[in-house]
Amino acid sequence: MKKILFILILLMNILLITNVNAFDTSQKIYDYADLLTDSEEKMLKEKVDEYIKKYNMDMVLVTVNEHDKTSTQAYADDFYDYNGFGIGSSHDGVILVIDNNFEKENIQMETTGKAIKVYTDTKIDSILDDVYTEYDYYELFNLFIKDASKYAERHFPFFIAFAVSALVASIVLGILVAKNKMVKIATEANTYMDKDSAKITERNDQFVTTHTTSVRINTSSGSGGSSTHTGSSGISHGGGGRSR
Amino acid sequence: MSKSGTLDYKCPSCDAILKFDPHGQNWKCEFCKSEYTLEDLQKHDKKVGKKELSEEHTTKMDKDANGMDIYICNNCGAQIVADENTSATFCVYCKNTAILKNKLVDEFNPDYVIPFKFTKEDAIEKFRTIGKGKPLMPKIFNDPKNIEETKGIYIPFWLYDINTSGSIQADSKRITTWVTGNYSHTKTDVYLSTRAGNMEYKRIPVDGSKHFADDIMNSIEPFDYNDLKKFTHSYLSGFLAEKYDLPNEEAVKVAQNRSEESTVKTLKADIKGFNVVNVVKKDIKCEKINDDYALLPVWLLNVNYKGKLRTFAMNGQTGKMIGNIPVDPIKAIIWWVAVFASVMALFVILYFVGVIG
Repeated sequence: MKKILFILILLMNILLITNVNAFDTSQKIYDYADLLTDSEEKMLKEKVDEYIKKYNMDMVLVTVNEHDKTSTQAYADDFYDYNGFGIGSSHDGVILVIDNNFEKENIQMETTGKAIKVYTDTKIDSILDDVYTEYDYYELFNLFIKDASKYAERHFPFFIAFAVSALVASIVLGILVAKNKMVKIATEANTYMDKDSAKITERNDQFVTTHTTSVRINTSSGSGGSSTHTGSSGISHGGGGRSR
Repeated sequence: MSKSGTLDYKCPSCDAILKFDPHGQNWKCEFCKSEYTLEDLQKHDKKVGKKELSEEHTTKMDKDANGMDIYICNNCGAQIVADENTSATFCVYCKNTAILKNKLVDEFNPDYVIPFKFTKEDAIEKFRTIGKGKPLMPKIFNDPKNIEETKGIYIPFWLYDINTSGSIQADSKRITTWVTGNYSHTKTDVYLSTRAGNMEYKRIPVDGSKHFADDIMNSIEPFDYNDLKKFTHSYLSGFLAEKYDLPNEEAVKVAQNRSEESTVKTLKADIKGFNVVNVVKKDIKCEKINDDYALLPVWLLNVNYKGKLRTFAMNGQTGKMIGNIPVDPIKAIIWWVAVFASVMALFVILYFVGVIG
């Protein structure tokens, strides 16, 4: 009995230790391809921490030379999901991966949770357009953090709020002014109609013509949508990538 | 004397002036406090062998230079000037109600009357509370001090029974939209709708007096015709009354137009299942079945607010009061700003909660 108990405790200890050593998610910068110096990593880490604190979304920056995933997107999603990144129950956050596993260098940005809505397809495109012309990796990551922060910044929709408020106020005022005007000429006599006497003797809707018009829906207008895919872990992601 | 006299009702007990009491719906003598019903008065009339419209308190004298009729009050001897359409008025000196008899005889004799149910005090009280639910009214507008004059007038109304029959044609459109791939499609089915039918209208009222504004008279509608009484001049006692000056042939057109409009509307409402219905042709016959001439009770209030005269009117039977209340510009601005600020605040809250932005 004692032996069994001893083995159990030993097993639990091993489990605990392996768990603790499993992965340090607080590091945020994983430079497996060794593209950054230690001091650069340190400076980037400060900015990443600042981003996480300010926008309440996680940010993970990865460089990698080789892996066994079929695509950079799969690698990025799995790295994010299986290592348990993300803030809150919806795992809010972004990950940027520089991947040299394939013929070309792939730059992949993936979004999760709240970040999917924040970074719409057009915004992701614009961020990637910005960073993929940059070959200094430290500058590339800096640029990414800067752009990601810019788009995460929320703006009070002042003009919409102003217009809607003014419209509502004017409608309410119009209703109140109308209440003061009680004198109106009568044009109809519904009150005096004998409802039982009303008879419809002919009812005919004759078809005349029909026409159909088709208009192309312009999806690129605005920055509305975020397209999503599901990673192997079952978690939804948004994102995009570039090869160079 | 001749039929050009005026008359008033005198108390059978004390010979003082007997006025109609709207609350009691009977006649009350202000001096001896005697009360009479319509039956009592008719019995009394029979007993003293008096025909209706026989007792005379004024004598028609002449026309003045402006064509106004001049009467002499038989109560105090003062002269009463009345225009040709006034059928009951007051002697300004002794307050004797002068019912100008010649205005009520022959073709001008009304078929029906709805007696007053509200008194002058009721009308003033109603005006005092007119600001209820009207936040833009200037604070002191409803002060009874602003009322220059309150008159209880029996206004001549034509009441028309009208049968309508006919048809309308309308362009009806059914619009459906759907999306396939990147395309949005809009299909418009056009129909020619025909509806025919007939409808009957009972007692559409038309103000028979040209110098009372039609829109004001329209706005105090409707009257409850269950109270229509066979006309007898005793109801006029204590009130002003007019005779019509808009002839039957002209007034009926107003009622016909109103019935046509309602019939077209009813037929149009029967065209269902379309997004757009546009009436393109209407052919409605409006036939007058019956006309009655009735005196309907109206309290007219002349309100002087900041030097501008406004007419308010109360339906003397239902108590419905109407009139155009001025808008206080300061209150209007405050309301606009308050609503604006509230909606803006809502946006700010939504922004901080994270719903927008």
